[in-house]
Amino acid sequence: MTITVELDIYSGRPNPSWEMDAKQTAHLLKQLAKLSTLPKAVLDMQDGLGYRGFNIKIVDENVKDEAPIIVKVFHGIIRIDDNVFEDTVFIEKNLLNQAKQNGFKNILESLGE
Amino acid sequence: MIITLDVFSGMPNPSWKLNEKDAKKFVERFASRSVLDAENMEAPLGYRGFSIETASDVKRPDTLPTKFHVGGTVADSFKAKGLKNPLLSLDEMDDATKWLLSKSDGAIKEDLMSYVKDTLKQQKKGIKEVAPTEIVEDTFLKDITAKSPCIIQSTAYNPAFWNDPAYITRNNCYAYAMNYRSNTFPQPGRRSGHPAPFPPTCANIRTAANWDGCKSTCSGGNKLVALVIWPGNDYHWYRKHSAGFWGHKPGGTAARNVDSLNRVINGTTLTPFNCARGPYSIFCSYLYSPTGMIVS
Repeated sequence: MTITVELDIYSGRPNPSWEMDAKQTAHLLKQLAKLSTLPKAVLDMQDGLGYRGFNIKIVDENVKDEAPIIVKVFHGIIRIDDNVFEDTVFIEKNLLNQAKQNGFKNILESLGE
Repeated sequence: MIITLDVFSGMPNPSWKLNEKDAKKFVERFASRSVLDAENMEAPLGYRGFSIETASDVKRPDTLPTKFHVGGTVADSFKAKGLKNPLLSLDEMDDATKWLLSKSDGAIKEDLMSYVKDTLKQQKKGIKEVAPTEIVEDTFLKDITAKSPCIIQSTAYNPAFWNDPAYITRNNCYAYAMNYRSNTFPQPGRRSGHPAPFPPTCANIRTAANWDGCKSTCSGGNKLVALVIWPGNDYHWYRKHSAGFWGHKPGGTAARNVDSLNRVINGTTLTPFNCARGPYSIFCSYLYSPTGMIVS
């Protein structure tokens, strides 16, 4: 299983991204399994210039020809394909911590994240 | 849809954009017809026909390639064998080329227009053209950059073209502003081999974009674009649309015509200069992106 996290923050330049290690991968999968669905009406992922959350790509190499799962995390809401969840298990907070450890502390804090 | 009159050898060919309605009309001419690309054509000096590019925000039927050639003379070496459908007849092609010229909207200078029209007449009569190139290269375009009038050819707002899930993440603000869906997350200066150094500044992003064809002064047909900077981090572009408002595309997200406070950037009270831009606090300048500019 390979999980790539993209910090969705730039407009012109490509967004920074990193790969989760085994421990982070296991933790995220555990967290995702705990989520409960929200009605779509509450979906408010208004984005724009600056911090727009995270795009997570999950690839399971053991499943042949399987398309990657794309997870969008932003401001307490998580979208996996057409399903919307409330981030009750602090996935975004964990990802923000990872981003800060990966060299984006100053940028994120300057944006109030 | 971008039309380029293929006529010069040293200077840039004049290009213009067909609006959505005209592009649709033009495409209808090729229903159940085959088209050729430039490699199938003679390449004399002077008039060689028109290059048609659809990699912009215009809907295109799947049957048409993104780039093809119209007008000019089919090369002797071309074998029509294997074409799925017939090509346009000579009369149909003549009509199509004249129609394209009629839609050039000032992109072709008067003298050049006369030359092309004369050449088309001669070709129709079967008269071999006589040394058309001297007049083209020497007289018409020597002073194109200095004397061409400034024409702002604003483009229609077509977010659906950019927000198609197959392309949305592969194109950014630069692609949107320059109106070229390269699918490469294009960067200023990459196409011209002069990418901007880090960190992005007004000066180095503008210079890199200028290498790609963007201009600080207006001459010929252009789109009006605006450059802003997030100091030390990133750059962002806006493009003015024919309805008067401005559009933009923050990175791999959806194209829109509103600012960070969800207000329409209407082009009068709200512009790229004074709209809410998040961390992109530095407004650099307005710039001119020539019609037909390509980025990568």
